[in-house]
Amino acid sequence: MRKPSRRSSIAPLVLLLCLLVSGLASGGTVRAAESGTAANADRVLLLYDSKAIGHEDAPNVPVTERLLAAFGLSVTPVSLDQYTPGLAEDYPRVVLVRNRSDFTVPPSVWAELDAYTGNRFAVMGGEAALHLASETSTDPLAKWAGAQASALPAGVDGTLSLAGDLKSWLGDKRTGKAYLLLKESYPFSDLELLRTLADRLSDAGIPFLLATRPVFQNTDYPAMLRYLEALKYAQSRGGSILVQTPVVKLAATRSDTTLRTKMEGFVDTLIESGIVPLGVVSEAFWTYDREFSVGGLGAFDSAVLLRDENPFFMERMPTSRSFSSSLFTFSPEDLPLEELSHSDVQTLPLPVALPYDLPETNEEMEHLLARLAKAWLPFTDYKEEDHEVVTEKHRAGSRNGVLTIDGQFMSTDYVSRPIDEQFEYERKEAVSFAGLFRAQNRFFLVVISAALIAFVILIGIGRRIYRRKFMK
Amino acid sequence: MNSQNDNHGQGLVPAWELETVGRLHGSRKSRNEARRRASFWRWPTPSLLAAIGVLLITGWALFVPPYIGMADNGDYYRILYPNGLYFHLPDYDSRYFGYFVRTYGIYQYFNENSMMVFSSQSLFIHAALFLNKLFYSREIFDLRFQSALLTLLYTGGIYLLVEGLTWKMQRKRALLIAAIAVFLFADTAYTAYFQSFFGESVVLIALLYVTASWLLLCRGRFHDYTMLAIFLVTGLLLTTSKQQNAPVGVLLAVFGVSLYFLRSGKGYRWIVSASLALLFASGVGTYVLIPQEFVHINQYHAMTRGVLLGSSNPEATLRTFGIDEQYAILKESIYYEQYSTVDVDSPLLEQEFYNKYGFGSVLRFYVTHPDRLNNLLNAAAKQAFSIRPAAMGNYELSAGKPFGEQTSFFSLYSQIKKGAAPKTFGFIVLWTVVTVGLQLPGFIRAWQKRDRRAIQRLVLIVTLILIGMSGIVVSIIGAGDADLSKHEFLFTLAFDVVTFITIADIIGRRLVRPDSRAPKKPAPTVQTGGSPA
Repeated sequence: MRKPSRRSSIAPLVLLLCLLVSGLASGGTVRAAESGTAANADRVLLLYDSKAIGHEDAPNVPVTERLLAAFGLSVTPVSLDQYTPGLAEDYPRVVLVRNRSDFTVPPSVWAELDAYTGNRFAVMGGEAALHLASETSTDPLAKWAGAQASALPAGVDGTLSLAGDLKSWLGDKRTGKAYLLLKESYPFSDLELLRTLADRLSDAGIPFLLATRPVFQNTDYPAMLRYLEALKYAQSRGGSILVQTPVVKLAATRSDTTLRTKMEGFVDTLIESGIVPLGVVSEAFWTYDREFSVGGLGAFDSAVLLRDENPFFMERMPTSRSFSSSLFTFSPEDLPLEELSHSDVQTLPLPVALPYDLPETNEEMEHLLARLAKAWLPFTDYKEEDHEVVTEKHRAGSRNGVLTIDGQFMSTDYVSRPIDEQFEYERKEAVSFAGLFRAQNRFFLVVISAALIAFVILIGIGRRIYRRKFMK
Repeated sequence: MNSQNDNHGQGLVPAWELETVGRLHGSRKSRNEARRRASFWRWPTPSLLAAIGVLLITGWALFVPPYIGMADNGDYYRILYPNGLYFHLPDYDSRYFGYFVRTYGIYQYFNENSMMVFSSQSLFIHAALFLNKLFYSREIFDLRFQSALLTLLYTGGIYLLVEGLTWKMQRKRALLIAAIAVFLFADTAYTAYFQSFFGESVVLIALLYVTASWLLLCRGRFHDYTMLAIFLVTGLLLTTSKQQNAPVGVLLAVFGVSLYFLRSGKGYRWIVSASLALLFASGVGTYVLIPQEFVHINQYHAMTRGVLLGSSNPEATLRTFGIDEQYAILKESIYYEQYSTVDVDSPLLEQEFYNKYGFGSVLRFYVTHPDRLNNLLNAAAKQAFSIRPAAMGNYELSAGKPFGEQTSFFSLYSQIKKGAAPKTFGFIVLWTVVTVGLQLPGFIRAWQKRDRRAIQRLVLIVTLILIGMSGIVVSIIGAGDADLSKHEFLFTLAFDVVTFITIADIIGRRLVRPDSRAPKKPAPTVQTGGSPA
């Protein structure tokens, strides 16, 4: 009998040890994401000379921020004007965005940046690239990043090019993937249309992300239960459910600081209905606000960050919150489905989501389906990767295509739940002697009315007698 | 010349006074002495005393530390920015609801804020701003300039109101009425509004002037055209002071038709007609100029906080309006939610929700579901008798008072009213019936005597009651119960004014015999004689 070699007996142990270490590491990542803080290695300082607001280079800073966030980094944007001595030393990486060729860097800042020993990267806006890249440029920061510089021409090509350069700089090994995101789903959406769309996408073999806006009140109403059933059905047909951040209307008083409770309440409602929310969809500025990021995004370790439409803040933080999984998005206008071919998706430098509003009419649905059929894109199932959502009551997520709730595997098969159409909307308060008091009320009403009438009649009679007696 | 001018300044002197003086001195000297003492008794008049009383108490409250005012509930910015002012305190946010802020910054550069709401309140702010720049600062606005201006106007209104009620009344009775006026209208629950940017301050002053001018027209006191001008101007200010006051202009125009018959004469009637047309137009204009944002706010609340509120089957209710039953989830929600499921101004709601109903269909719903209207009216009555909003503090941060602390200085009446008034709509109906019933005999008598001035009294009372009610009913139909507490100021004020007039009429024994004018031959023992003019 052959004696097992020492190497073969140790191998399983080493493997087990590796698994344990990797498990601990991934657990550590999740915990970091939960708390919203990033390890030092995941932090990047983003310096810029100007935001170029109103100029064609205006998207450069926000696009760079979103790309860095999509690579899982926590970003600290700082204007060169407000640079404080020693700041760069706290960060292992510094990215410099140049939008203005005429900006003069203060000598003290230049001296510090020149001596910076961490990883450098420079992004040149259209105008700056033209002037600073020339050999005759005297700007000390023109060659600051050396080869690690990327010109950022406007449009999708520029963004993808910058994403590719950043990927190389960061050493990211992920392959390109595309996700179909259907957002703006409400309880007031056409639920039948939602079910039909889910069926059609499933039949076409297209996995999709469905982002629902949260509902914070009346979640026990039949209308809400019907909506939850529709979401559950979509989940069963290959949909991954995400929560889109709520619509914010900031009053001057900004008195509501209960977003975390509200979001967790909605997540719990979903989970208790058999729906696993795998991530959150929000505009990128949410990651920079304390109330929004902790309250609105805090329960999730995965996010899809949309372009900012109208950023505002309750309490702005200097550094963005990072996620263990964060998808970059191209709007349908920026990157139409037709422009992405099968090969393009594989060569994408990072995973991207293509967000579309949930169709409201049959025509809109048919139009979207026709475009998807024509594009013939290999969309990825979001459930295939690890995502987790944690609330006070529940912990749910996905791993390798399987959904879990509180550690238990959950079947995605749709089992309908009966809805009580005789729901009692108004809880009747316990009252005593209600009938008696009602009768008493009516009795007094009659008596008082009769007394009033009699009083008026008597006054009339009295007046008549008086006039006859004294007014002759 | 009107006969009322002949009686200008007449007052009553106690009979014992003249008799005593006359008995002791029968000579010319003694007559002069009697006249001098009579003048002493006649001046100051009860109305002037009431005005001085209100002025002193309000002045003490608003201008002697700790200053009393109203904390911002988050609405100030709407009126502040378009009028060239801004919040200059860095910690202003922490004072919302809790502390009243007395100073604001004045824009030094171009003000890009457009007028968010059209309000006559802006006129008073601009006037105060002018005085502030003239006497104090071009950078910092002190709210006391506005409160000083409003206090003076208010004092004038009190004088006219009490004068309209006490003219030619026995002095003791008149003094009692003046004392009641001070008790009611110097209450700091009312006057604290002067030291704020709430439109209620303008509502308070304008309604007093409208009432006083109409009363004085009714009494024939002062010049008719002057009173008519006050009625018109203050009616316009009242109507345009707040969006929800749009019905006030219409009510004043409709019931003001009685003023048309006050006097004959082409010129007078033409002026009245033009004035009423202007008031009507101001009501319609105020309604039309309500910004789209407010239209949505009100429409949203009309459904979620009105029609759906208390509905035992909101889905069935929505179906009657042709709205998707899924919108039942919005039941009892409010427009101002900081975090909401759907953008309340989104095209989705515009198409599927707002477009399905309006003022008419909601009114129809309440007509066919009176029980639901009754529930809302009772809900409204619960807050109908509080003058001072419970949420807002009255002191500055520097006064060292706790957050949201309210003053108890001269607020006995508002506290009694809030605590003791039966808070049901049935009581409001009963109060209306009793008030109108008490005025009815006088009205019938005036009608029989064809006394066109005395007839006005009941019309005025009914108009005031309807103005007060409009605040409740219109806001219920137009915006459910969401803004009732804000819209009920008009009711609570109208309630006080009407009750005050009724009490004054009882004290002055005018309910059955409403003497519109001075008697042609005054009783020699009571009347003191000619006009000082």
